[in-house]
Amino acid sequence: MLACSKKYLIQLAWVHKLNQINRYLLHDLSNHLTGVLTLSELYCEHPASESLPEGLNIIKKNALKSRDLLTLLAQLNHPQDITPTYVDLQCLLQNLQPIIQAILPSNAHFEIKYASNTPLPLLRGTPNIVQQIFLQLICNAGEAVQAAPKPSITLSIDPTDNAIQCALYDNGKGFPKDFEQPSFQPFYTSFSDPQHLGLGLFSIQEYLSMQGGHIQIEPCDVGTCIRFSFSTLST
Amino acid sequence: MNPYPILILDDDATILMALQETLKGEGYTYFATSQIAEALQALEQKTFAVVISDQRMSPMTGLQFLRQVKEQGKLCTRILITGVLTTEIFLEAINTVEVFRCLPKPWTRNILLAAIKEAYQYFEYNIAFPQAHRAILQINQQLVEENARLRRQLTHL
Repeated sequence: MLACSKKYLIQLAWVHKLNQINRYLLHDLSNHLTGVLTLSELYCEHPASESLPEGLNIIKKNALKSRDLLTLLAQLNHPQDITPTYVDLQCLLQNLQPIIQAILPSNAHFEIKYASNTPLPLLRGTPNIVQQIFLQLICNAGEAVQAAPKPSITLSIDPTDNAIQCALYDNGKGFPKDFEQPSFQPFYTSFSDPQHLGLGLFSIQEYLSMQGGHIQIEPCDVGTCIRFSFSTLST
Repeated sequence: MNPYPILILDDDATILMALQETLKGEGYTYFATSQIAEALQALEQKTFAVVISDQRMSPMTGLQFLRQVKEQGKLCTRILITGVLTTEIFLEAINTVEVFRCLPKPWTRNILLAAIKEAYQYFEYNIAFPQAHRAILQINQQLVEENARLRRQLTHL
């Protein structure tokens, strides 16, 4: 019964976050479509406009971006395969770049730092679930830095003997000073509005522990640092 | 030619370009920027008829920016443009920030031009013309007083 409830809470957390990510992607999609529609209507009415060559390039660029976003939306919202296999983290993060770009504030600086140039070992786990963990954490970081004058998010990735250690730093508003580890409990949230269910960190901890990883939050002077790890396939 | 400029604020380069080209084609003057600080500075320096702002921006949202414009008493009509128009945004825009129009993207040219034209006319009829009317009344009053003073001088001659 408890396991079943946990499973539903984890699913609810992802559906809630997916809804938020969809809104960000739809926002970008509607921006690209607005560009295409406004400029094409303008040039139909004023075909001799000086800006026509530049405008046509912008129309093409935005039409292609719309196509890519539609593909991403379809992938994200497709029923997810949860069979445990292995994950190429570098490749997964590369594929997530357009979504990360859409979910972070436009002025945010996002960087992935790899500890070494050697290829990362494969992770033990389910690609969709690992993807969900990164998207949830990066989406939270994006929300946290929204009011920062120079928003910055850094993801550090460091392979060790039998795990990959990750650290996500942001210079956002951070957790309350009296914060302690109970924030991994379901329904814990540092936000007061009802939009935040407080299931994100709980579900991530559950995912990670199922796959042999762990997560912890470190206090920072500015912002937040979330450390989490995944077991590699060889262990 | 419309004498008052229109301010456009959007952090998306394509939308900014599309709006500029549209306004240019219709004979409006404008100031376009992707930076909130630049927009606030421009508002300090001149009177804009219409302020058009995107909603999803950082470090403040379009509604927070337009609320600041309203609270600073800037004489302009306000239009909010947004890719995802939720009930919360819509209610706050209408009830608190008192925007003239909420324009969801993607818009069609007719809807965009009509919104801008109506916002501009609203500014002229309700803000610029009454202001000009008050200025004319004031000058007229000064002329009446001056006339009376000259009449008094004439009677003393």
